[in-house]
Amino acid sequence: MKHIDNSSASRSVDRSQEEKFLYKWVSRTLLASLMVSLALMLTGSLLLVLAGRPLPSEVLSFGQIFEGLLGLDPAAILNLGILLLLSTPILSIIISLSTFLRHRDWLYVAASATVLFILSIAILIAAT
Amino acid sequence: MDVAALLLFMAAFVAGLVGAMVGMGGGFFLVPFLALYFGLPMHYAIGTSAIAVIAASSAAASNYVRAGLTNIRLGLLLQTCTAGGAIVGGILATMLPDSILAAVFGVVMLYASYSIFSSSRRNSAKQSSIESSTPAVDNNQWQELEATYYDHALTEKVTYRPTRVGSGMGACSAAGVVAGMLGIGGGPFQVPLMHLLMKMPLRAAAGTSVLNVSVVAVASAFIYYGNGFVAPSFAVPAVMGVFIGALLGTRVAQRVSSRALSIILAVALLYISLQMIFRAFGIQLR
Repeated sequence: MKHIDNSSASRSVDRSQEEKFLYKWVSRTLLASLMVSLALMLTGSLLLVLAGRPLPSEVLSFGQIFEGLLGLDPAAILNLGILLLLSTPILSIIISLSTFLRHRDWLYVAASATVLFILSIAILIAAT
Repeated sequence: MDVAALLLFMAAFVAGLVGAMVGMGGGFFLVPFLALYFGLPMHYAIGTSAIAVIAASSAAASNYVRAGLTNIRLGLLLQTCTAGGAIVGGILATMLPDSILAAVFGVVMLYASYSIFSSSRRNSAKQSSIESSTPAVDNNQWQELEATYYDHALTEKVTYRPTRVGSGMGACSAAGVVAGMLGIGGGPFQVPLMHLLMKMPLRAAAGTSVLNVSVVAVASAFIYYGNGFVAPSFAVPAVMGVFIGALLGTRVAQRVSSRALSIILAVALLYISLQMIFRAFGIQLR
């Protein structure tokens, strides 16, 4: 009986630690990723304005962004910021997945993995 | 920065501020603003707005998650349905003509206006009793979804456990299709769904909704991005505006009664929805 109580208490502590870690890091990841993506978008825009070029009215493809970044093209930096912004919620799901994996919370491992799989289909559609 | 960009920044700020307070991403204001004021084709307005919605909802979600108002587990379960629906909606939208999209947007906005207005009436007088008495369900089903948060307006801790999770997931699939099609996050559908069907307190519903809104917007935004329907020249001021507005909105929302705000929001949505429907038939109301 005592063994069962200890195990239950340990599960409860484990769950509470999982919650704290999850909420803290999901919140931090969302904000940090947002900040970096906004900084990239602002830097790209500023460099374009300084170069006397208008902000683009079309987005670049994944390949064009990669090529542009090699030449430090401001439009590519701006587009990278947009792509990182699009990836921000995905990063928070990756944090959730890794937390649930570590605590073997299988139902939510499956839920996080499913959402990531669905979003990767959207990325695949965008890339092709 | 030219006047148009400054104007878009300010409109996006208001959309982010108000949207974050009621669990929306702000897309319901941005799409019509881009389409009606700037004359952007619907596909570009939706694609550009979806990018801004991600910024607004992620900023709001960051604050709501830290305050413990978001139910991450429930959010993930619902996202498995909304994200799939959003991709289907996004693909559908790229096949539809501009006028049909504008008409669908207008009709959905009419519903959102009604939904927000009726939910504000239902919850105005009995808000505190509903929130504090949300029952902890007797059986063990979905026990892990039980959550507690501190409500600043009630100055007490509120514990709740969502009910009818399966039905909620089914309804979220449909909400995802509409949201993905229109480049919005679907907050006006998800908040009432979580509050009325799943018996969650409004604040927790709004906190969980913004996290879902960001994922739905990502699913559709990638489709729009891939089709070239995003205009960076409009996206930059819109993203900056909603980001600052949403950060401020979540801080204010936890301390403000939402009734007056909801009524203003419902009237604004009603007005814009009529403009969108008129636009669908080629009539400009400005």
